[in-house]
Amino acid sequence: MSEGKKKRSDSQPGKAESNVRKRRLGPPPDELWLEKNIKSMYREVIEEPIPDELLKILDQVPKLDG
Amino acid sequence: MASPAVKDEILACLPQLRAFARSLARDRDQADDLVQDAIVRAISSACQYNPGTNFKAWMFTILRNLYFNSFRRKYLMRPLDPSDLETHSAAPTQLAGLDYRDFKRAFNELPADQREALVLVGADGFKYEEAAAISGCAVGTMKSRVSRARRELEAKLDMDRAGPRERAIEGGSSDEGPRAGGVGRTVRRQ
Repeated sequence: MSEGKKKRSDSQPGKAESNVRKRRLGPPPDELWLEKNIKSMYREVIEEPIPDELLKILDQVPKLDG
Repeated sequence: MASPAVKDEILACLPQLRAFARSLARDRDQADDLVQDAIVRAISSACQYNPGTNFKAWMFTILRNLYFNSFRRKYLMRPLDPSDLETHSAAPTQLAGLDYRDFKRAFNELPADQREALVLVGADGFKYEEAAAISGCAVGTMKSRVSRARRELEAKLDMDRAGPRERAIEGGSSDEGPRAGGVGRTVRRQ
């Protein structure tokens, strides 16, 4: 336990370096991977053709709003 | 607001509205039903829209309120079919297909408020303040939802891979950091 703690305190300078690296390189790879996948998933739907039913609803706008 | 303007504004944000609805409903047909309900609601309450403000955010608010207040109840009793959790188009070429499917499954297993937060902030690029306004919560709540959602996604994806990966790391020397496997592993080129 105390050995584990000692290891941690030894690695403090390394932690500081890592923070500098983080600032320079941006988010870690797994965060980038998540962001990329979330955006891809969203874009997939955006790029789908709009179903006719939804467009038909919009065609009725003047009637509904009027 | 004049009718043609409403129509144009809705048309302009319809693709994003469908994508947002899909992330909430997790099913193509239910999501489009939700969008349809949101359009009807928006048209009938167009006079409440304040011109000059963010129309897309207004539409997103209507849609998510419909989902959380009434729409979800309709489908809550129905167990989600596993096929609903798959999207219908192919994975982007730059991503490994299997990992991408894993990601989508894990995403769809998140609670609705976390899916909402991730999509608003991570996919559509709303600022935390805007996303919080859409969801009707505090900015801090939105931030913690996004952060919790990321952690849960990572945990789910790590769990999926835990078996073979853990064994591989334990069996040999590894210079990978604790976050390097699992989700991050996919980013690395072989």
